[in-house]
Amino acid sequence: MWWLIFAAFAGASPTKPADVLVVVSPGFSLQSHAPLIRAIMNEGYVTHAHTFPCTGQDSHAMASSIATTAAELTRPYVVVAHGAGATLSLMAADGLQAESYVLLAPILDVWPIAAFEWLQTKQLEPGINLSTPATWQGHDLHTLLLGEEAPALSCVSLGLAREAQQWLANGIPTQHLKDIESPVFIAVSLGDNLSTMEAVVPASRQLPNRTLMRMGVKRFDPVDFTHVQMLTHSVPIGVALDAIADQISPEKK
Amino acid sequence: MVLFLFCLLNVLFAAPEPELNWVEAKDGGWLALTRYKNEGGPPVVLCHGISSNHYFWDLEPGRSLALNLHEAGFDVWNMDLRGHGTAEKNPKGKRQRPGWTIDTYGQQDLPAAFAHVQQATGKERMHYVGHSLGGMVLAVYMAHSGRDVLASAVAVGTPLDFRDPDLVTKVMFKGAPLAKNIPFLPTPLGARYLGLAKRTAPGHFDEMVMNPANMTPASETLTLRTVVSPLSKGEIRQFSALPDGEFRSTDGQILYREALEEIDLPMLFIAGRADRIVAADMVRTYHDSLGTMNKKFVVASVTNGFHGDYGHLDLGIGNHAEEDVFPLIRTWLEIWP
Repeated sequence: MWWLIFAAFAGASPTKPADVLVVVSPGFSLQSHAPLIRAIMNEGYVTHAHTFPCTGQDSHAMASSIATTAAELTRPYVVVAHGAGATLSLMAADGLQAESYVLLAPILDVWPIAAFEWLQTKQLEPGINLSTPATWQGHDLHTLLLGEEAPALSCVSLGLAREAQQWLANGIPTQHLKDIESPVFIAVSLGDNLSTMEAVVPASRQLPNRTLMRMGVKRFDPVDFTHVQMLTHSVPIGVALDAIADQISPEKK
Repeated sequence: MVLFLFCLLNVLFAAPEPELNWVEAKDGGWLALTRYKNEGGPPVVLCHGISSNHYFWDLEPGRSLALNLHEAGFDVWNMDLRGHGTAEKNPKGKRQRPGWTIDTYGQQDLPAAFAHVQQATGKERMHYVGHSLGGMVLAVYMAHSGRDVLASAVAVGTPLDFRDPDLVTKVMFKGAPLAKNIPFLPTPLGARYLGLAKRTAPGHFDEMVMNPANMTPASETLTLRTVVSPLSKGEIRQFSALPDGEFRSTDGQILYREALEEIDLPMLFIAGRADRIVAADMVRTYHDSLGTMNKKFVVASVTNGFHGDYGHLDLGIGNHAEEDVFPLIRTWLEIWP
């Protein structure tokens, strides 16, 4: 049995036309999503968070768990997610009634690179903890793929980890994307070594109703954001807030 | 004795003397081919990018694909498209009449260059390496003339579409029509300023076109002073007329990524992870459009074992381009004779 966190954070009353459901990425702690969640709450949204346990799940089960949580919501909601949380949110889409999706650095697909090929060969055991140090060609792998401000990572289920190794080799299944009718807002950045441009941008074009924003120096942002910065930096968080507001505005409807 | 040995070593290991070839296209425009000759060697034509010239592929020893391929036995033909570098003016020293477009390069300059190389070498086929616009020009050529004259090709930092542009690109495309009455944009002047400003220019514009971590200050200054040529209004016009970001012919009739579906040319695509001009997905479009199984797409990044994350210009002239990028190109040309 898995456990779900389903929380309406105190202090936010329903003054907005929709709530926000934040899907916390597997392997990332709830704490790592705190800046994003806090910012959303401060905007006045009733905010719910969904996290995943460390055992017994593959992507299908994880996607189903998101749908189970969403079924409990009594108001319209926007799904907000980052990285692998975004991947799973879109996999869950046919079980959701989301008004829209706001996704930061979603991992929609994978293009083979040498560091990923190395990860494919790693022996997997139950209780995988992503915070375990790993080195590749003299580089700290966490820093390389996530960025220098990589937060404390946590565990992932063996089922998901095995699937992830397959995805790194063969790409992530994307057939479901074309059936997602709800608006999807996606922000990507050049500095991201995990949600890479060459994989995300082409895959995102399968979404029938999507907006893509390229963030970074060529948008006059201070930097080209790393994968983790897309979750924790105030600029992408601000972009997410704007996107949420835009998606649920009466004019949009 | 020491002096004799020094002179002997210089003679033995000095860079070869390049040979300038003027070529007239059918419409009267002139291009230039600087040849590093290897009699009997497989010919390879190098082509620079937008607002650039042949020095991009031949900046200095250690930053010269031209020399690198010559040492490997290739007969190297380093091109200046009309209006660029040596061909900024025609052989009589007169500025060439402005107004040419990217289509002109692909429909006039490349056919003339290829015919000249065929005649000079006696070889039917040759290889092609293009940087940025130099690869787009090849797409134009293949859409009109097919691939028969080509053995293989490499596109480095080359986009084939500009869909989902970033903010700066959107502004540039919107502002482009303002330049329609200016025959040439004097980009070399701006580049020289950046070279003098030595990384202190407002807006860090130099960081847009290269990753400074992959360049020395001296090589950056040399690049900005040497490899920039004026931008023609025709090019600006063709870029600004991309309503949906798709790369099309000037008359709008040909969508180039669709035109390449029938092209069966072995082709390598190299994108820079830190390329702020041409993001890796724009290069991948070209790769995905080509109708061949004999293609490869590589991102020049630390995560792929490269020395750094490559920006737009350092793909060809960066500190470690000779170790990271040139071997990929050379190997590709060698496996497709």
